[in-house]
Amino acid sequence: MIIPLLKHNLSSAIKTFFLLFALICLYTITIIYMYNPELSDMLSGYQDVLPGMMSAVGMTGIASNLLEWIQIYLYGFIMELFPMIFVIVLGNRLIMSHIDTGSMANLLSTPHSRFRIIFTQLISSIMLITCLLSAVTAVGIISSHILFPGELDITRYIQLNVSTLLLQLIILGIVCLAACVCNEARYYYTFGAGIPIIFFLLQMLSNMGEKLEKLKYVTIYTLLPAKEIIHGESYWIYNLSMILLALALFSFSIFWFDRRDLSI
Amino acid sequence: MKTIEVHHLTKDYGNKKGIFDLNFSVQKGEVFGFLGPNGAGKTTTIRHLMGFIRPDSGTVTINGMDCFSQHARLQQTLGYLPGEIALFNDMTGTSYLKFMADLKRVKDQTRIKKLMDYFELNPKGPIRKMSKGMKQKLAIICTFMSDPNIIILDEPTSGLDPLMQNRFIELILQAKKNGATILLSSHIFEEVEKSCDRTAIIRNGRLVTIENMNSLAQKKKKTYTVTFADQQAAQKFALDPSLPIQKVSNNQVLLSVNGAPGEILQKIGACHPVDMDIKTQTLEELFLHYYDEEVTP
Repeated sequence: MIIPLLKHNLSSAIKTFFLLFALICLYTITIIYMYNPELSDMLSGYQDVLPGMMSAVGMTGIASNLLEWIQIYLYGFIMELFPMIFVIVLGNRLIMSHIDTGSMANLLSTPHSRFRIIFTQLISSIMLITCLLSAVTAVGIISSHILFPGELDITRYIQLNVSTLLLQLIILGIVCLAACVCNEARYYYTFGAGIPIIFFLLQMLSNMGEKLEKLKYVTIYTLLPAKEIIHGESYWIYNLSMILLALALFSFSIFWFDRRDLSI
Repeated sequence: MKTIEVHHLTKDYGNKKGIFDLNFSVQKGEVFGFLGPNGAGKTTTIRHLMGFIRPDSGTVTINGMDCFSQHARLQQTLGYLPGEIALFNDMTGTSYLKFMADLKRVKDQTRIKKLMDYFELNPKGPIRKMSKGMKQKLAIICTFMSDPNIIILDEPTSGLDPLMQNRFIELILQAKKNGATILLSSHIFEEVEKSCDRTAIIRNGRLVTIENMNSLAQKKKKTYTVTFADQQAAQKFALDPSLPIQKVSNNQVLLSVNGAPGEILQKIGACHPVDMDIKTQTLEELFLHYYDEEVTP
């Protein structure tokens, strides 16, 4: 790992970090603030009126406790979309833009191997997305504690966020692989942003149920074991597959970057 | 001892683009010019030397080490100035120099300060607001900050004003004095003429020739324009068959001279000319035919 480069990466992503952190916090606190089992009945009324719309964004079911409430109204949409945007921005800023503009030449004209460079960029990205989700988790726990003391099942809430993080690491893997393979930013956006977005849209469609439900077998978002965590069922197989998939994508990115031609 | 060695290097991008069967070597302590028109393959060759791309076939080594697989080790003693300067635009000049010094493990800041003074660079302020020349200076300082003993320069003076171009050439000559091996790619003849020991000409991805600059200087012809009082005197002078007459026009005679001038000057003096002008053929004129002609490998 190259420490000066790591420092630079963290400082260059700090603005985007705080922007997305603020946005997610806003939603998290609002949703927790709105927690009210009676309101849940009203919202399930919406589900009756707008069945497609609400279920597309994962907002189905009736919340019987605060955790379930948070899961229904945050983890089907907000907590999947915003971290994904952050990861796509990171992939561009830390890898793709250096290849696209040629500033990678600065890094490669220093006595550091390609492996160390790409490894540093990967670790920086993992650190940033982990920090983001940890900070959001902390905000969720604190605001629940203030607004509804003792209502939140903190252990399961943390488990839910750990699995969300693992899901984002897969997306980071896709994004990194795209950045390591592509020569130009536009191809990067086509694949690095396009594939996660398609997965996301497929997940929304499959949520709408009936015949479309089968689509859940072709999207990585199905790997987020939200329901299993809430209901206390076993979910380690989901986490394990997410870890393995992310590691495979990271390894393949490093392998590719290490031997590719860089016209910089 | 050979520092840089390129053997049968080929990189084919299709459409006749790329470089084909390139062979040359650069001796330790030599300044080697790399001259050619735009798109000739100079930068592609340099990318191989820097380990950015891999050859389709052939080998590229520096100090006996493969440029792609041993890239990180080679960079410890190498300085590189890219042709297209792309710095970290979100940084200030000062923080960029600090960042690059950290990455290159340069501990001593005095050399950086000296270079900034030498190029009259004030690196304060964000890089994205800097002019091309300032960015070029920043990149040059980065190249030389670690006092490298192998230096690869890709069109180094583009963007610099004439004063700074001269200073840059002096910097190269100084580095040469200190024993550095330098490869200088350029399409500016003057720059190459002032600094290089040998020069390769590359065109359409193929090596056309490698010229020794000293022997080239001797090959250079001089044109003497001798002006006489009238046409008659000029014609009388031109009658001497031992003179290398190029052209007679009115009262002027043009001579094309190669070698020591003594005897010819005496003959000119004996005919009492009213004026005389000497013009040396430029490197450009000598080399230009390599650019124009279709060269078959």
